[in-house]
Amino acid sequence: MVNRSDMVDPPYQDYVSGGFAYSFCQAYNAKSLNGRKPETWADFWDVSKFPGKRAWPKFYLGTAEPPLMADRVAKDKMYPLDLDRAFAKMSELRRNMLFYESYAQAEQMLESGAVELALIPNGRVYDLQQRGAPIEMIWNDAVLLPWEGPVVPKGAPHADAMFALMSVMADPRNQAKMAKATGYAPTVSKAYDFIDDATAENLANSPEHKRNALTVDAAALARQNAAYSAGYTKWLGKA
Amino acid sequence: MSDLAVPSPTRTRRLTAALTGGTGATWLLVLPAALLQLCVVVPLVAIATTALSEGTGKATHTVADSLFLDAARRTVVLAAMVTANCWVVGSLYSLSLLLTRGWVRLFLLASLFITFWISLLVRTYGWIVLFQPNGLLQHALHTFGLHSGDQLNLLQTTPAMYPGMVHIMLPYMILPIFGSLATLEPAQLRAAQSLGARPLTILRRVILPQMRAGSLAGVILVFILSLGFFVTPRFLGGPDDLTVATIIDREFEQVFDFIAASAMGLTLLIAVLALYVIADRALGVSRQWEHV
Repeated sequence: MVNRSDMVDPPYQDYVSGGFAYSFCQAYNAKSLNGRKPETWADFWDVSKFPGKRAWPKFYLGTAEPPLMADRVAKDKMYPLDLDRAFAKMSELRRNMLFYESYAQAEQMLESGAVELALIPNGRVYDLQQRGAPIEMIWNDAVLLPWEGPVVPKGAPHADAMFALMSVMADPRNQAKMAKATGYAPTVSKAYDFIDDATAENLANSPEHKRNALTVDAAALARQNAAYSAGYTKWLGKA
Repeated sequence: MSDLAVPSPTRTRRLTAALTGGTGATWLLVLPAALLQLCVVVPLVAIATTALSEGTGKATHTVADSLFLDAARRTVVLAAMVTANCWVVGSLYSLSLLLTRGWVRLFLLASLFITFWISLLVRTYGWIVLFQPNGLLQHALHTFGLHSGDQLNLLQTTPAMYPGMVHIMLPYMILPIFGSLATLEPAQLRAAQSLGARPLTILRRVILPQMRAGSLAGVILVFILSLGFFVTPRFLGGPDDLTVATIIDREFEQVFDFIAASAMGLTLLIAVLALYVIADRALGVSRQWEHV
């Protein structure tokens, strides 16, 4: 029996354990912005207030919510996503976007000063900060992916071994160690007993960050997944 | 023209002798043939079967899609432009190699081979560092007062793809052209000069004819390689600068439509083969290889 991850949405708890939680947030290069600080997604879209490029992913996950928030869609009215509206808002910023293939490339763009702002998972900013780069993160209106986990394919020959590993990964102490090392948040609430305050500052589902974030509705997103993915790919391919 | 496609009699005889003669040389072919079978023929059959697994309807629909047609048109234009640029620069480079001596020539040769040996990814990344906003090129332009104010908006645009692609394809153009020029005797140039030919005449009547075989080989090679270009357009061009190769990758990696990707791959292969056959018939390319 695999240890449970109690922070996973209840209907999925039988199937998901041992993963982590994170947020897509905006990050900026404090050196090139010279003390000015973006606060909302509307700021991210405001190229006259914050000139310069924005690093943006070539893959769809986490790309629709920020433009909708910038377009003043309320967080509790976010799902189902108004995809056409999201793509239209993204097109406004397209000339100022520099697209990345991987999160490592997004880090590199931020650090080298090629972009001033970025849409990026919080653990990547944590990594940059650990290395002393002048990169800051905005927790306000972050897009929180509340849980995720390893996938075991049906009929996998060593499923037992994988389940055993997932149990180890879901252990609260191990979840706490993972959080300290990567800045990615636990999916087991008891892990917070072992997490110090400084580490909690960097975690997407700490009570304070969770309150200011938009929590992704996994079930609603799953229903739109095909249209979302295909629509984003199409948007990306056409200028 | 048909005689061009027929291999020369001596070559045929030598090949036949090697295959049937008592030297046992035939056995040497077993390993390469098996490897070719395994690494080229088997995957190609797999791609063809996948492409046609839902009938020809789905495959033709994929290839007739406007996104693919746009990418195909863009790829052909890109390949033609890269080839033309490579030919001009490659010819000048080869001529410099022919006409210089000593350390200049050594420097030119070294630059050529070092370019050839450095990984394609590293070279492409070098262009990114150069072109990116707040990158080296922007700083250089600022320093010389050639660019002011806004950031340099070059990376991930169509023009950004050309220098990188020409850079990467250049050795494939220079080597065959230089190969055919190397057989030019300096005495020929002196003879032309002493017979009163002006530099332009020498270029037109002596040097260009000598370059013909190598140019042809280089042009075909660069054009065909450019049709399948992937890494450089992917990293230097924008996400809307889809080429045939990047669109195939997209079908595999993001859309997970293996049938469409296979149909596109098959189309590219057929186009390249057809192109080669036409070039061979019209220009006798395969015969030119012998001179390279």
